[in-house]
Amino acid sequence: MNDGSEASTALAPDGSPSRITTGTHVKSFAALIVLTLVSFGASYLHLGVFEMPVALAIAAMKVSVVGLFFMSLFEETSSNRLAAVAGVLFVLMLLTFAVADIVMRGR
Amino acid sequence: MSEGGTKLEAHFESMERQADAARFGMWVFLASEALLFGALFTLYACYREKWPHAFEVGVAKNDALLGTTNTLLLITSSFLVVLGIDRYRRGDALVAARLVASTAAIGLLFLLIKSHEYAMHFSEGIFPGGHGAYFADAPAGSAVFFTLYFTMTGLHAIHVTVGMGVLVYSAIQVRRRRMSLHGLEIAALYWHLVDCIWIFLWPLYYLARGS
Amino acid sequence: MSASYLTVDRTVWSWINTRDHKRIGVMFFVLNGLALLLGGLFALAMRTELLTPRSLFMSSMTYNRLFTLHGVIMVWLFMIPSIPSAFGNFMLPLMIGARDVAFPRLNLASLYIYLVGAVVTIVGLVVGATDTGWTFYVPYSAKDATAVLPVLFGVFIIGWSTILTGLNFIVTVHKMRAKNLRWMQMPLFVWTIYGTSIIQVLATPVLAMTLLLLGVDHWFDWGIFDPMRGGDPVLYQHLFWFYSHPAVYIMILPAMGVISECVSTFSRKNSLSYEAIVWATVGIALVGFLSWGHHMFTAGISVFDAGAFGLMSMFVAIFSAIKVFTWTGTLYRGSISLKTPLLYVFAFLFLFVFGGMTGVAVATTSLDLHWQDTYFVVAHFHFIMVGGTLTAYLAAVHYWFPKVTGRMYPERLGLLSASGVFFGFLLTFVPQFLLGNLGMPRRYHNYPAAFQPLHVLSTAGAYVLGSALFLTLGYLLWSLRYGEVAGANPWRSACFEWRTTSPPPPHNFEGTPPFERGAYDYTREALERERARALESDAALAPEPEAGHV
Repeated sequence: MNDGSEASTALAPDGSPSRITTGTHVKSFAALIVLTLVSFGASYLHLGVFEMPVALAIAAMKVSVVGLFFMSLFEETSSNRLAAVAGVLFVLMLLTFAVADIVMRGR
Repeated sequence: MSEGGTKLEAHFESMERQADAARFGMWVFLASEALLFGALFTLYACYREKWPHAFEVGVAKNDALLGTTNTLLLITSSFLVVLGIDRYRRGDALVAARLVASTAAIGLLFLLIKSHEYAMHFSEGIFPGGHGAYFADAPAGSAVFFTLYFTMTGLHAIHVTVGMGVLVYSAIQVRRRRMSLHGLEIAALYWHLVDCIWIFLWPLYYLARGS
Repeated sequence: MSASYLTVDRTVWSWINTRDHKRIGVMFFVLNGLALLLGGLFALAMRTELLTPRSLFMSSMTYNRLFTLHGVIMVWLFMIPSIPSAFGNFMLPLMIGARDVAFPRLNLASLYIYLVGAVVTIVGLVVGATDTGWTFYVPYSAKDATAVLPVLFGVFIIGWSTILTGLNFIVTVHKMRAKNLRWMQMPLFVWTIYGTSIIQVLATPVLAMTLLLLGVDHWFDWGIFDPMRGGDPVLYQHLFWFYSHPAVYIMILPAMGVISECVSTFSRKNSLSYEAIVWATVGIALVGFLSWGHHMFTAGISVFDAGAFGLMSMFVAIFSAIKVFTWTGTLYRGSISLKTPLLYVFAFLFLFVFGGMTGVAVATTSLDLHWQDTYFVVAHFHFIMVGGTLTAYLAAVHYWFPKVTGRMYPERLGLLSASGVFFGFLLTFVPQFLLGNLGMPRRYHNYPAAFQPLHVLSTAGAYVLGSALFLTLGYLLWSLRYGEVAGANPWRSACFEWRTTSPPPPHNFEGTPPFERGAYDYTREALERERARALESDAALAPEPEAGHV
């Protein structure tokens, strides 16, 4: 399939020309694969107490890549970013206080 | 959910405003979805804190290779759908539709692997709710681990199924050029969320098996 | 006279299949009103039973089912959707100069989802004879012999209705505001609906998940909260209150918005500080999320969590106090006209402060140990829910009745029933504070004979309250047909929803919405500008004749 017709420039949600190109997507994909393999390898290193933090940190990085470049939060309007941040923030809030209760119980 | 159609509704002043609203609506919905899974992640964190040993044994029981394959599959599918959007933006409806359809196909592959895993669990006597032979001499807390495992991966699988439906519909509409670029982007957002959730489920259920 | 949203198409199908936010708001109002009626009748039945220390006309089992019916219907079917879904739907687009909400079809869908959820819930309550109370605490709800399942399912469905409504409102406020209407110019009611919607969208999914887990436990015996299998029942409470405590702010925030509107309109004054009310609204919406644990002080949660949650709960009181002082400051030296909505505002201010202060008292861990699960807590939350939300709801009903129906209600009867609601309420719940402090536990239908005088007073109060509400229902129905024609703006309010005809035309405004004057701008210059504009547009559009006031 050859797109000989006009290759219209991609637009960011705010109307300006997008800075996220197909090239960005390919790099993001490569980064995601590498991070997945790193995480998989790290799980065999027996990191002890660091096992979970490392795994979650890599997962957070991967989700950031997906969010910023696949879901184009990188150049999203502020209201859409706000919604994304609010979702994450409130999950953390619920998690923190509930876990705090379990950890601190009986102390 | 608004499908981001190509027609201007009477109550909007412009197409841009309408597309903008539909996109924002999807983002708010995704935030809501995050909290739906957030409740389960909270349960996971609390119960892991309570039963660290049972959770490590439980994670070791899962097949890390299959889980990792599934992770790679979902990442690839997310990549394919953004490629599809890129092609559609350039007016290449046929390739775009094929890319979107192959995203859905990968979703199907994911579900097949997942159900194979479930079948293995069942054959080993592992059922949700602490039912089955496995739990007779498993460490205390194994029941909640596997109940959570089935709940979280099951709910995720339901989301994969819904996402596949959305993608198949989008692929057909894109092929006929009946869907706006915005509409396709919004559909893809949902698929990416499903991917993001799996990215967290994977280490929690396949990697963190302790030493 | 051009057609209003009511007269544009009179067929039944045009209502069933409408996309008009105003019609959807009206239908929500009718459904919520039925829920209020039903829940109120159950309350009267309970109070009647409590006249005597021993069983009067029902068994303890029936009583358990009754308080569950009352609680579930009032909380899930009336309070939570009442002001946002009915008045929010009707007023929000009018107040921001939009033609409709962002997703009208989704809006209609959430009406039907609510209807289905309500039917499933009520049928489930009656057929299954649920007796867990409205909180469905495990392990009892998981092991309960009577059917909890349909009720859980019904509440789950209603939850999705509120999520969709909230989502719709958030997008509407962000994307549908008229040109030049900036965030800090929006009417205060819009701000509170916005805050409420955020809570609905972010907290309700957690409840949905929790109820789903409970349902799955019933169907397949998964026992995720079962201690025998390593589960933790207190986690159910964490998840439940992560939604249900913010849900209190779903109920009270829109009420505060109504109060802000009425205070400015009936004192003909700009709000003492618009910014203070806006930031207090946002503050309550956020801190409200961080205080859920104060429902669980006696459930065995850690001292750390109890302390943190107790402290956070007190922050809510600070934000509420900011609002109360701003309202009274606005009223001070205003040009007061004592109409029914304002009388309800006075009732709200008094009862809400009282309820709020007792809230600070029960948020104190050491005091709560004494009052937990007594009538003190029952009286406290009824002061907020009934004294706060219901009075604000009634203020909204009277304030916007002319806008929605185009007719006035009889003012004297309105003032009379408002007084009846206020005194009836006090008589019902002040004795309950005393009873609770003496040690009367909630959810019991028998009690020591020494408590009888206070119980009789409380029951008498409930009947006064009930009669006042029936009187209100009566004259409102009468006014639909025989009420005086209201005219576009009978209260001479500056707020945006009054700048169109009553009842409004199908697309809300004829031409561009006139938003040059602020929503609370009662200065002389603004009034004159408005008058000049009205003369112009009268000549151009010839809306219905002004009547009802000079």
